Amino acid sequence: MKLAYAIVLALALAAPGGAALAHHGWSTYEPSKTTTLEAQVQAVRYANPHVEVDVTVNGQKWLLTLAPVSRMQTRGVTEQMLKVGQTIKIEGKRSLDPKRFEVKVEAITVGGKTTGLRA
Amino acid sequence: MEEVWGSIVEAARGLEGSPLGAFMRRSPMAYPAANLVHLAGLVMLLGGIGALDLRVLGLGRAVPLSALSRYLTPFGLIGIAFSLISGGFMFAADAGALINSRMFQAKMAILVVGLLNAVAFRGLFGDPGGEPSFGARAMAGVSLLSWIAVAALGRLLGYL
Repeated sequence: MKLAYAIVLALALAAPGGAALAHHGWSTYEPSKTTTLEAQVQAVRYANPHVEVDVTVNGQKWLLTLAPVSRMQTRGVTEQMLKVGQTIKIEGKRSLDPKRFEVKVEAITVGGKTTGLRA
Repeated sequence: MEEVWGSIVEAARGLEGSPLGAFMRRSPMAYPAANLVHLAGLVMLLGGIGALDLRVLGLGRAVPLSALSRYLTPFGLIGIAFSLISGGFMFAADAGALINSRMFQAKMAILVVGLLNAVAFRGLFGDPGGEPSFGARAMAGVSLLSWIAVAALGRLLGYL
């Protein structure tokens, strides 16, 4: 059992942060500091396992990780609302990796309507 | 070797771009449903084969091994079928990124070890008469560790 634990730990440490793979949980994001961004939607991937939006703020490209498709729809943030060029405001937690410009979104404001995305 | 890997990556990208990949990303319920089947498969595999592994390793000697094996093996087989099929569906959604993830690669490598170990175990110790030999117990240990590692890596994929 100790061996299994050691194997898993070693692999976890050896694993690079995959593109958009780390999406589940909040453990790899800032625990307390909230990041707020306002920008125009550049690209949208309205898809499972998580919806993603690209934005650029002050010349810096950010990846916004939102909820899975079903939760986005249930909470009322439809694909039609997230068109390229649409201005959105988000609040969320930034990735703990300082080289990674990704925010896991807790709340999104589109067209004056704010929607919480956390479970 | 590099060519083989290149074609594997190519195939993964092809799968991601296929109608199945698109369906897994677009459908609101397909991905969560596949996730549930994957979990059900894991529970059946680890519950069934894990319990059998522990019996081979020497726990619960009051239970006759061959009867237990006949009872639990189908659960393991159904579990692995559930896991492989649903896993393939979820892989299709994001195959291009997953194939390059060290964690996913490790998971697949240990999955192969677990499967080969299981096939070899059945070949070598088909219907165990008496108490298992040291070799059989060692293989049960490999089985237990490999399925736990596969499960743990799968769960961690979304977190790290």
